[in-house]
Order: sequence, then structure tokens, then C-alpha cells
Amino acid sequence: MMNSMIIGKYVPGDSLIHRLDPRTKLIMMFIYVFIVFLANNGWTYGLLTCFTCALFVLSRIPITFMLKGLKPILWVIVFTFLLHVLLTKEGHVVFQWFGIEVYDKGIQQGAFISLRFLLLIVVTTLLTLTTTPIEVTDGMESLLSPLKKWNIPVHELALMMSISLRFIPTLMEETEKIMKAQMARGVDFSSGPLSERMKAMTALLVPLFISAFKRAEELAVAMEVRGYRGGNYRTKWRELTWKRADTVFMLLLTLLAIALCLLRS
Amino acid sequence: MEVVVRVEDVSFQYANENIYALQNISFQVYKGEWVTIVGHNGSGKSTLAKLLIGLLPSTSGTIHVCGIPLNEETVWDVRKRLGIVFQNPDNQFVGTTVQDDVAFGLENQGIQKDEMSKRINEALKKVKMEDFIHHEPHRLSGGQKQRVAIASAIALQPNVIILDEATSMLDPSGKKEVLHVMESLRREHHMTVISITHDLNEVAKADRVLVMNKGRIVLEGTPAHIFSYGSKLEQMGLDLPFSLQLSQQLKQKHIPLTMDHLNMEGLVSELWTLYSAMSNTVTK
Ligand SMILES: Nc1ncnc2c1ncn2[C@@H]1O[C@H](COP(=O)(O)OP(=O)(O)OP(=O)(O)O)[C@@H](O)[C@H]1O
Ligand SMILES: [Mg+2]
Repeated sequence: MMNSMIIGKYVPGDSLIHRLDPRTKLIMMFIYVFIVFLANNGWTYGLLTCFTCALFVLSRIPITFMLKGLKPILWVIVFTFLLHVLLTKEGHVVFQWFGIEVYDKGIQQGAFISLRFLLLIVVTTLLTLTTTPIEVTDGMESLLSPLKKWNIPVHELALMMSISLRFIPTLMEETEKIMKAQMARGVDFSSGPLSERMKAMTALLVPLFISAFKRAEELAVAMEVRGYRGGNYRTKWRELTWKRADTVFMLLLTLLAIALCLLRS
Repeated sequence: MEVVVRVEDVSFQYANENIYALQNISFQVYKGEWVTIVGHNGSGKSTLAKLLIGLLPSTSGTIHVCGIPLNEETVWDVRKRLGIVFQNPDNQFVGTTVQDDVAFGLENQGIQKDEMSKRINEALKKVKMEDFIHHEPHRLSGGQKQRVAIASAIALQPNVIILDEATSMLDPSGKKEVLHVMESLRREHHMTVISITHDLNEVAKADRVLVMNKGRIVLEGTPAHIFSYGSKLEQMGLDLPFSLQLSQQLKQKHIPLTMDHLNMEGLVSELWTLYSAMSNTVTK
């Protein structure tokens, strides 16, 4: 269950978006987050929506996966919309209902703001659906590598990330095993007052921590005997390669940004 | 014959312990040889492995690997010549997928990408895991993970492979898989192997056996020679292989077996030849 929450988000595929360099995707997402705020009228929002939909279609991700990703924040979007509708007092009244006046500007504002929110979520979800966590890590490492000049251990941080990703399923399995073992000994994790349940958690956490430390130590030994001595002389197996499609997408995004600047009011 | 590992009079004491974990250990391993070290729990086998690979410094004595004396300056050089596979399949899997794990050691040595890809494929083929190249560790069985660990070790082209109870956490079929792979490596690639175990069943495959007891090497010889000590091994906390126990007990019942069998196949074939010979004499 937790497995699918953290690593199972990725939907394997071979679409154009899947094959983009993770750096492209990260940079694009980063820029997108800013240019979304350029939109302020029908034209600009229309253009952004089209662009985003095009990305989504190109990714060939089944719509159900996207909807699943959107579900938890749907009420936030609805709430934002209602808040704007009810609190904006500009333009003319569209209708009245039990003394609540709804203005046309309010509806417009509400629609724009929630659309902006929706677009942001769709784009970030698209990134996680089409990029494996390890690709994201590699992309981050490569993008942040200039920071090495200031002695920030970028390589080590990336390695830490990838090892944590690798050990999530292992530790999940172990948690489950320990829980079952403790339940067999009569520990009750799911009922009783909160204080009791907290106490029960120690019966889970203590063995889990002990084993995690042991694993860490053994893993460190295994890495050392395979010649690991930090990042300096290492080559990389997973090399990121910048392809034409990456340049094309970056250019498209630039064009979008320019168009937004021109069309906004 | 070329000596690959030479251990001379090595002793070792853990910092906070007052007894020696290893005492005056001396032995040699020759090129292409398969040496098995057996001993009861706590006899010092893992400590010895850690000394060989330079994870612990010996208190006294010297270790040479391929002629290089092991010390603080040469430890990385020596490690390039030794590959080691540990007991726990999960805690030595560094990469997020099989290929990443094999690549990890190659990356550490600064090997270029083309060469890496060649070596990864070769190594995985040797352990028959080439179909799993993109698999994540949680989608592999224990035996498969250990085979990947072996591939990770041989991809670095070491002169010797050390297995520290590499099969002890596996189920019988996983054990078989791993031993199969090791045997094919030995047969087809003449790998030098030091295998550490407390399972006497694995001993039968060795060229030479060292028996450890309380931090000392107490017996040394071919498997048949070692097993001839029988009950003495049991006193040292080792379990004799089932086929051997059965052979001995059958002999006590005056079944005329020619030898104590180290494996089931040998015992079974002698038993049925005996049986058909006996039934022949009865019918005549
Ligand atoms: N880190 C340590 N600190 C102190 N003593 C240790 C340490 N590790 C092992 N020992 C002791 O050294 C002795 C040899 O241990 P070692 O792990 O080498 O045995 P082993 O033969 O590998 O046993 P097993 O079959 O259980 O793996 C034991 O008595 C053990 O208690
Ligand atoms: Mg041990």
C-alpha cells in the first residue's frame, strides 16, 4: 500500500515525455511554475491550458492515473473557487441567493485561480508519472553539480537519495514483518486509546531502528569493499544525454512564455 | 603453483575483548583452487574474512594477496583483487536495479561506460541473471540477489572470490541456485574461491578444507580426509552431511558399503548396486 504511494506513482511508458531528459523536465516544471502566474485573461489561460493538455496527451498516460493524482486536492480547488466567488465584490451582480450576492468578477477570479492551481498540479503530477525517482535524482545531481564549487556534497546527497529509494520497499516489508510478529505476541496497533497505541508503536519502532542501523553498517561495508571512496574518481553508469527533443521542448516553453507576456492584459 | 593468498601467523583481538578471535592462523590459497573454511558459530570465520579484505587490521602476522602485502597503503589495491559476497542478500544490494548494482563497483573504479556495459552483461550472464537486468531488488528472491552480488563481485575481475556464508540465509532452492552458479564459475572460468560456511554439506565440493575451532585452524585437508574425523567434527559443533551419517549408520548395521559417502548420489548408486547384487545371489 505505502509502496504504491511512494514509488508506484511512475507509469512505465515510452512516450516522448517519458524519454525526455529528466533535467529538461525539472527545468521545465520550474519555469512553468513561474509563467503560470503571467496568465491573467481568457487568452493566456486558454493558451496555458492547451499547452498543458498537449503535454498530457503526448505522455500517453491513461486519464485515470491523472485523476487519481488530482483527487486528494480536488476539494482545495473547489474551496478556492467558492472563496473567490463569495468574497469578491467587483463588477455587477449575477445573482442573489439568501442575501449572498455573486458578482461576475468573482466567478471569473475564482475560475482563473482554481484553473491556475489545477494546471500546476497537473504539470507536477505529469513529472512524477513519467519520471522514475532515480531519474529525478540523477537530474537533480546534474543540475546541482555547480554547487560542488562551494563544497556542497551534491554527489553524496544524490547517492543518499538513491539508496533511500532502494531501501524503501525493503524497510516497508520489514515493518510489516515486525508488525505481524508483534501482533502475534499480543500487541494491538489498531485499537485502544491513543496513549496505548503510542506505546504499541515503540514495539514496532525499536526493532525497526535496530535493524536499520545494522543494515546501514553492513551496506557501508559492502560499498567499501567494492571500492567506494567518494565521488571524485567515479564514472557514471547512468549518463544523461541531451537530445534534440529536449532542445525542442525548451524552445516551446520559451515561446509559450513570450506569448504569455504578449497576450496578457 | 601460484599462491594467490598467503596468510602467515595472523592473530587478531577485538578492541574490547580479552580473548583472541583469531590465533596464529597460517594458510595459503593457490590459483584456481576452491578452499572451504568451516567452523562453528563464533569460531572466527567472518573475522578472518574481514582481515583478508582489510576491514580489520591484524594484531600480528602478515597477509599477502597476489604478492602485495596488506597494509593501510595497499588496502585499496588489495580490495581490487578480492571480491566478497556477504551473508545478507539485502544489505549488499546498493543499486536501485540489478544493472545499477553491478555498475556500482565499476563506477567506483572509474571504468568507462562502454566497458562497463560489456562487463555488466558478461557478469550477469555468468550468474544466469541476464534476464533480470532491469529488475529492482524487491522483485528478486534471496538466491537471485546473491547471484547479483556474485556478478557485482566478478564484474570487477578479482583474482579471488570470498563467500562469507553467502548461502546461509537462503532457502534450499536458493542455496542450490547459488552453489550451481559458483560451480559453473569454477568449472568454466577457473575462479579461485574461498568459501566460508558452517554447513558441512558445502564442504564436499571443495578442493581443500580448513576447519576452524575457537579462532584456530585445527584441521586441514581434502573433504574425504576431513570427514574421516567423523565424531570429532561433531564435537566441534559441526553437523555431518546426512549421506555421511547414513553411510556410517548403515555400516554399523553390517551393510558392506565401500566408503563413507559425501553426497547422496554416490550413496544411492552404491546402495542400489548392492541391492541388485544381493537379490541376484538370492534368486540363484
Ligand atoms: N565487532 C566485534 N566486537 C567484539 N567481538 C566480536 C565482534 N565481532 C565478532 N566478535 C567475536 O569474535 C568471535 C568470532 O566471531 P566471527 O563473527 O568471526 O565468527 P564466525 O565464525 O563468523 O561465526 P558465525 O558462524 O556466527 O558467522 C566471536 O567470539 C565473536 O563474539
Ligand atoms: Mg560469520
